[in-house]
Amino acid sequence: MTEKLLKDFADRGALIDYVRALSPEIADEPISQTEGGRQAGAARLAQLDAQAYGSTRNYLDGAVSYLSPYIRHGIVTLNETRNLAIQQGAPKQVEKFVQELAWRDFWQRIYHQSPAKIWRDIEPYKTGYPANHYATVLPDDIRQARTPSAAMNFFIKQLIDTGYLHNHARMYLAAYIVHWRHIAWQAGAQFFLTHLLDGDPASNNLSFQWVASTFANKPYFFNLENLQKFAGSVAPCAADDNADFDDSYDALAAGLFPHSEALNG
Amino acid sequence: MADLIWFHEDMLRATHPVFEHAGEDATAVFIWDDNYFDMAGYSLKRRVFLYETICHLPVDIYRGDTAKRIGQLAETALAQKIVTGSTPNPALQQIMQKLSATHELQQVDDEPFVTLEGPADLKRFFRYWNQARKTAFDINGAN
Ligand SMILES: Cc1cc2nc3c(=O)[nH]c(=O)nc-3n(C[C@H](O)[C@H](O)[C@H](O)COP(=O)(O)OP(=O)(O)OC[C@H]3O[C@@H](n4cnc5c(N)ncnc54)[C@H](O)[C@@H]3O)c2cc1C
Repeated sequence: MTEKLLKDFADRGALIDYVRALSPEIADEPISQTEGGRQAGAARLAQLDAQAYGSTRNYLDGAVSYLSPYIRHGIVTLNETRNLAIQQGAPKQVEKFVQELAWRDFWQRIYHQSPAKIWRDIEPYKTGYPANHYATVLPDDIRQARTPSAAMNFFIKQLIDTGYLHNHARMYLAAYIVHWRHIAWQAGAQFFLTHLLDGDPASNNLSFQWVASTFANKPYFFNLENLQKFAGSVAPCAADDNADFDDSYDALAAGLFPHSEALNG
Repeated sequence: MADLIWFHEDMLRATHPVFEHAGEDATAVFIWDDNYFDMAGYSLKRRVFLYETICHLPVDIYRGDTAKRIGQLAETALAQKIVTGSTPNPALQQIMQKLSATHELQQVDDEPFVTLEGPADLKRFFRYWNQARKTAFDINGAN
């Protein structure tokens, strides 16, 4: 019988070196500061502020929980997180947070129902383009954070270096990949799954499909004003460095979805 | 004849109900399966996060092909059954299928978030939420 792998290390650095040695082909990749383990997850849980969440969660510096990698791998459960949240306020005051937990439960149920379908379009795109319009390979400038947008480059770097992105940043970057760059959601989704510590085929792929419009009634897109409002305190959102997004929603829709009557009504 | 508890990446908690379904003398293991991680495209930071998590669990870690290693460990221990957490993950389901050809394999659900009255309506989130909200604000999702 093969030998057991080691479990006791002098410090985190030694553990990281050990995993590097187990994975020689990717040994030079970055490591996240986010620590694994129940203790680290419980520490995150102790910092939960489900009330503040409701009013600030859309801002990149809002009071979000950072629980996702722990919930993803069953280290912390949705149940115990909810049980804690409902002690922090009346249902109305913690509703937004509990509802976000329910999003995960919703995606997981779909995954349970049809596991093999997780990589397929659930519905057609509502962008005015057929599925085969979208490129299947993620371009290098996106992989390497060298796109024309400073904000997108910031998000890509953050994704690669930390393994975490705020929900709104995920929406911006996914929309950029699918709608501005015409890349199939699957290529963006695989890139996210490689790097997100919470990378989950259900939450990730189905959220990508929501952005793409293959699991929604219309595509999600944004403009510079929105980006500046919610991400401006964290990411470089100057107009000069993000020209692709600097327009009204109507003008952007006309450029991004010229064949969609519904979006250019 | 102790049971073998197989921990996989979707159930990395020492309080997972899997323990309630295995004998007291059961041994718990995680298989560090490079091929599985390669197929999933996991970056180094994801692997470190997982490894660090597993180090804190009462499990032994072995390296190799999951189905093969679990099968071998079950045989060596003369395990009566293999107990594991249920998961939608098709790669893990495939491994479970393989193992259940030769061993008794039990899948244990994790604790639920809500209790629904009827079948879930999964067409759009808000249809589901209208069902889920009835117990979503109750302790343990049950009223
Ligand atoms: C394109 C895209 C890809 C995504 N990929 C993933 C993924 O791979 N894994 C993942 O767990 N989430 C994913 N999400 C959902 C969401 O962005 C993250 O769960 C959330 O940002 C994690 O940060 P947090 O723990 O601080 O969340 P909080 O906002 O504090 O929420 C608490 C918990 O609720 C759950 N949750 C919250 N929002 C959602 C949501 N919209 N969908 C599903 N679960 C949610 C998570 O478990 C999260 O930890 C994705 C969203 C988008 C738009």
